[in-house]
Amino acid sequence: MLGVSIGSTSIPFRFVLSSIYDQFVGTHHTPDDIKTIIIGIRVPRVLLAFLVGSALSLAGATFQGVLKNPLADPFTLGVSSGASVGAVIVIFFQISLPLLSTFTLPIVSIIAGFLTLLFLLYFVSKLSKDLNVESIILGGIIISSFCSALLSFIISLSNNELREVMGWLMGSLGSRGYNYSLLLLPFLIVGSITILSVSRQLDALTFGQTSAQHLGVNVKKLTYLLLFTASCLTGAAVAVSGTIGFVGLVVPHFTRKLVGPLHKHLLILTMLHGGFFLMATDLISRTILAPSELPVGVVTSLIGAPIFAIILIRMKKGRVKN
Amino acid sequence: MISCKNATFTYTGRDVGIKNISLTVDKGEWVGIIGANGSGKSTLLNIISGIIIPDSGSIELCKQSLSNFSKKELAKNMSVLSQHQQFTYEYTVKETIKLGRLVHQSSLFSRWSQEDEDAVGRAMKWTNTHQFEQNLLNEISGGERQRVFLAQCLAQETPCILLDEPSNHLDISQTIQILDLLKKLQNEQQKTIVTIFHDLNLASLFCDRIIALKDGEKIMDAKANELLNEDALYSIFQTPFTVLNHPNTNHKMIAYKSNILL
Repeated sequence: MLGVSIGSTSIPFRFVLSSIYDQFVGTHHTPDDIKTIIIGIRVPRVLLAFLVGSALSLAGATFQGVLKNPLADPFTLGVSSGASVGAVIVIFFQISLPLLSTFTLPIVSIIAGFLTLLFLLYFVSKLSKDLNVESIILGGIIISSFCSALLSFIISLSNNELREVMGWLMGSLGSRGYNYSLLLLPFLIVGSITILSVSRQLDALTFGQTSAQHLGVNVKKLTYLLLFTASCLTGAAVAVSGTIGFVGLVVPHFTRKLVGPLHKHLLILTMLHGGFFLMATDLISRTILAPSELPVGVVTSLIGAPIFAIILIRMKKGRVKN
Repeated sequence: MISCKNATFTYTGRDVGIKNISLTVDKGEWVGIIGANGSGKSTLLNIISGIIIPDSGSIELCKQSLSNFSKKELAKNMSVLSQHQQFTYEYTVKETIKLGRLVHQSSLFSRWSQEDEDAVGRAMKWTNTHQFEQNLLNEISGGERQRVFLAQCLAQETPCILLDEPSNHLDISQTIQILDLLKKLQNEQQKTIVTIFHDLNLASLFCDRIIALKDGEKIMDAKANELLNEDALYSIFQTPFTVLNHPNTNHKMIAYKSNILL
C-alpha cells in the first residue's frame, strides 16, 4: 500500500484504493493521470517486487538447506551472475528461440544459472571433499567475478544502451509492466509447490547426506531436484529484474531466527517476508534520492553485505567454542 | 536377515577399506564388530547400510540384494546411529526425533499421524529425552545429543538397528541404560542389532557373537566367550590383556595390562 502510494509523485491512499476500484469495476472516480500512474506503473512495480523478493528468498532458503550453508544465496553462489550472463546474451543478440518466444529470456537465464551452479559444485568438490561452507562461498566469488568480467566484455562490444544495462545489472524493478510479473509467476508457483512438497526431506538433508539416506531420503535425487528448482527461481527472477543481491541470504536468516529451522514454516514465511522486504527496499531505493532513482540491488547489498559479515563471524565463533 | 558375501571396498588413492569380508546376521541376533582404529569397522557398517557400494561382493537383506531396495524401503528395514552426528541449524530435540518417522510417511506433503506421535513418544520415553524435548540441539550436552539421535533411530521402528559406537559421549550409567534398552528390544521384539564396540567388556556382555577385523579383513567370527581369550585378543590388537570371568554371570571379561606398572 505504502509502496503504491509513495514515489516521485506522492499520491494519497484514497486515490490508490479508488483507482484500483475503478480498474476492476469500470467506474471513473479517479483523475485519469493518477490512475495511469497507479495502475500502469506503481501497482505492477510493487507486485513485481513482491514476486521477485519471494522467489529469491525461497531460492536462498533452499540453497541454504541443501548445502547446509547459512551463507548460501543465489548471489553469493554466483547463480545470479551466471543467469544474468545468459540474460544479457539473449538481450544483446536478440535471440528468440523457436517455441519459447517471450519465455526465451527466463529459460536461458535458468539454464545459465543452473550450469553455473553445477560448475560451482564441481569446482568446489575438487577443492575440498565435504563441500565446506567457505569453499563454496569462495567458489561463488570466483564465478561472480568471472561472470561480471564477461558481462562487461559483452556490454563494451556494443557501446549503446550502456547505462540502461548497467542499471539492470544492479537490479531494478522500474518500468516493467504486468507481463514481467506474469513471466515470473508460473516459475514461482511451480517452484514453491515443488520445494514445499519435500520440506520434511529437506529437513533431513540438513543433517548431512549420510544421515538423510539412513532416514530413507533419496539424497541424490532430492539434491538435484532442489538445486534445479532453486536455480529456476533465481533464473526467472534475474530475467525480470537483474541481479538483486543478498535478499536470499538475509530473509531466510532472519525468518529462521523467528520461527526456527523447520522448513515447513520457514519456506512459507520466507516467501512472504522476502516479498515484503523487497517491496520495502524498492520503496527506499526510489524515494531516498527522489526524483532520481537508486537501483534496488544497491540498497539490498548495502543491507545484506554487513549481515553476511556478521553471520560469518558468528559461525566462526561458534565453531571455536565447539 | 543380513548377509554379506566377499565384500571388498578400496578407498581411492588410500589404504584398503575392507577385503573380501563375508558374514551373516540372523534375525533377533546381536552381533558386535571389534577391531583397532582403521581396521575397517565403520566401512563395513556403511557397506551393510547401503551408504557405500562395495567394489565387489554382494549384500543381502532378507535374502534380497540391497541394490533392489529403494532408499525408503531400506530405511524401513534398517535404522542407523552414526558415529558422528552433524547438524547445521538449530532444530529442537523433538523435531529431530520426528525425522525418524519420515520413512513411514508419504513422500510428498508428509502428514503426521497419531501412530507417528506414539512412536516418537515411546522413543523419547525409552531414551529419557522427553524432559528436554523443546530444547535446541546446540543447547544440550554430547551425551544427551547421542540419546536424541538414538531416539530418532528407535522412532524409525525398523527390524534391524545398526549402531556405530553407541556409547560415544555417554557416561557409564547412560551406556548401560541404553544397551539394556536395546537388549530388551532384542528379546521382546526380535530386533536384529549390529554394533561397533570399542569396549570389549560391553561387547562380551551384550553381543551374542563378535566379529573381529584387522587391516580390513575378518580374522575372527565367534561367540563372545570363545573370542575373548588372550591369544586371540593379542592377534587382534597387538596388546596384552588378561581374560577373567565375570563374577556374576558366565561372561568373559578383560583386564588391561600395562608395560610399566607391573
